[in-house]
Amino acid sequence: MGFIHIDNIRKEYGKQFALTIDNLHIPEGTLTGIVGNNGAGKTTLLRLMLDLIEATRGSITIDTQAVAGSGHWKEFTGSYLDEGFLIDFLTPEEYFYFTGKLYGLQPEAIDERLMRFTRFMGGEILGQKKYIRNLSAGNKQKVGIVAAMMVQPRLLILDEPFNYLDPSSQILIKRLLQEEHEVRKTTMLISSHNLNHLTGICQRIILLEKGKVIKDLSPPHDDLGEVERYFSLQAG
Amino acid sequence: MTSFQIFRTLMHQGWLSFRRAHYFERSMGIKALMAFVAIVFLWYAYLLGLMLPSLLQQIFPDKEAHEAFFAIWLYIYAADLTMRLFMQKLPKQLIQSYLSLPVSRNTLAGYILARSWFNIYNICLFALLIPFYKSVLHHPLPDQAFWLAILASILLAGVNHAIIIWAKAWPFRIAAIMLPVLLIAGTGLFGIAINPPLFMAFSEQAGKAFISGNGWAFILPALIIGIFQYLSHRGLCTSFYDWAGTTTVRVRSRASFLERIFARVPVYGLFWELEWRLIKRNKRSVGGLRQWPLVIIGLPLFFYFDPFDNASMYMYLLVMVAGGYGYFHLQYTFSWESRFFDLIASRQTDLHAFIRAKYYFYLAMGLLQILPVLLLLVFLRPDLVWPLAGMFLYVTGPVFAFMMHTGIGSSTRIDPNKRASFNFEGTSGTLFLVVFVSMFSVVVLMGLAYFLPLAKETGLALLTAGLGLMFILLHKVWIKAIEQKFLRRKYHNLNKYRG
Repeated sequence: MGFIHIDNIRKEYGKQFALTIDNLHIPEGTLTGIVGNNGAGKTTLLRLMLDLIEATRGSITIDTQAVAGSGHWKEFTGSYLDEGFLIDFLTPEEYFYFTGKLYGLQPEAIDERLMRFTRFMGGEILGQKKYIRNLSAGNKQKVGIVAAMMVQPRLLILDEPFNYLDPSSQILIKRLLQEEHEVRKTTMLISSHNLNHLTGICQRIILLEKGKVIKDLSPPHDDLGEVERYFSLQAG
Repeated sequence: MTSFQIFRTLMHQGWLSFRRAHYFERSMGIKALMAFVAIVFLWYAYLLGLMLPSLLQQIFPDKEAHEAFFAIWLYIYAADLTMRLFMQKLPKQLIQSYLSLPVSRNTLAGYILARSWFNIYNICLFALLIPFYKSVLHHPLPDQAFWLAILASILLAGVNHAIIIWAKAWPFRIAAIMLPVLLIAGTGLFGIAINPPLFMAFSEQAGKAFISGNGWAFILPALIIGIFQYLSHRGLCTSFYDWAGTTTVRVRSRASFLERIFARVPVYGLFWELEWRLIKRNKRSVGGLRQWPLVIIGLPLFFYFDPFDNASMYMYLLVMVAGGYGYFHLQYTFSWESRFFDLIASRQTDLHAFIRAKYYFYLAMGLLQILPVLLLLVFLRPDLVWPLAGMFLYVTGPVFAFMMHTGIGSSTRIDPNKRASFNFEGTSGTLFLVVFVSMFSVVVLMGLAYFLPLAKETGLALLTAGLGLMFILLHKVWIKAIEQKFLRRKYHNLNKYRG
């Protein structure tokens, strides 16, 4: 039985379709990577899962409830897609407290949970007396990811979390995601352009092309070389 | 390229950025509506310019209209300086994209100073002055008096402009700001408190010196402009990293007193905290809020010196101030949050509580802003206390409800941190209609009050207060309707908020 069910979903913008998936089930506790080139439909899929855009047809259910028209899934979902998830006139601390309180966390609990991310934030985020809008792109990305993970969600959705991060932070965030998955069995959906970031950590890789699922692989049983060859072919 | 050629290219690109601004990419209907509103304002200014001679002669019956005008001339330019102090900005955002190019600081500083002259504050007063000068400066005065008065007005506006730009360009900002503050305070002290007749006589003589063609009268302001422009240029060159935006603003780490109070309030406190920080920390919103001290003092003073002495004439205009800052803010309901609405929509946020928190916040803020005005009116114009109190209830009741409801329909993405003055981001045809309807509705109420067996002002106060109280008491009902409307338009709005 899947935790996330995508049934016959289609998203069109005018006469152009952006995404069409007949059937996709994601069991609870899996770490799934979504890969594809620009315009493949990765962000569209994640936005549909977070009920931020309306599907032209079909439905997505999380934990047996349709995401459209229900707020039940929000109680246990953490997400970060882009800067639209940041409140840029707050300091990182204020932002963490705001999002934490939305999940019913007390300030002390938020402080405690942030400790885990101290190394990832690298001393450039907390206590800097800067608004989020004055942080670098990489540090903004870190703030968004930490806020999504800090609430210890059952479902974590991240869009291109490795973008803007320096190599050390990319390694750190991979570790944190793996830890989170192993310790709490968090269901994770992570999109990326870069297959290398996902191969080491994901139990399942979904390859999207022009709005369609063209490969659904489960390493190490399946050979990821196939996906690498796909990207090479696309490059010509 | 020579420095002059680069400067000319920058000026040309400045013109292109104006012509290709988002504002001009709107539909023909909206552009026509905005042009209509601009024409109406210009027409009002023109009519006021024509009416000014008779108004001045009522106040100063022993003087010619132009003498009376010159007697209050310096007060007008002191008021202009005050407005500029709050509103006029150094357009330093224009050069951000040139910082990494091989353009000298000198050229960039010169470009900022040159572009700063293309400012609405330097021309708006002329819509009133031209018809006024035309109607009063004629025989037996010299033929050239009209043109000399225009030139004098350009120079005085230029002096104010140069002082304000210097005050905002000079590295020691606080010290520089003191000059316009002292000039305004000096005008207030000598011209209102100590010796108004002497001040007016000086002002009148200055005006007469201009229209009689006294060379020194022109040389002095021209010199002041030149000196301050030179100093501004030097200031900009020496504080390059400051105005180029390459230094980072540090913010306080502790929550303010108000924020700590909000943090203690269950359910709504979290949203109030967010709302307050949004207003306080973004240029556009804080710009609107900063005008309030002027309204609190200016409005009672205006009524005290009201030349028409007929309050009902202004009742429809009072809609814009009676509800406080909320009247400005709520027109753009949810667009203020457009840059992070994906977060609100994807988190466990109680939308109903969010909207209610917003309403309570602006209701309370409106009350806090209108109370000092009412208090001043008790002493200056007691007859206006009840009409304004009624208008407060009317604006914070049905008008706020109407604005929040229509705000969802006209939601667009705005960047609250883009400066406030003449920022048309988020402005739509619907918004103009909302402002028009909210003002016109009071005219309808004034018509209804006419049929009540009461004095006109009392009837209007009762009607506005009654309607206002009804909407305030029934706020849960209309907020529910707003929430439903938002949910119906959720995907459409979220899409627009993403830009």
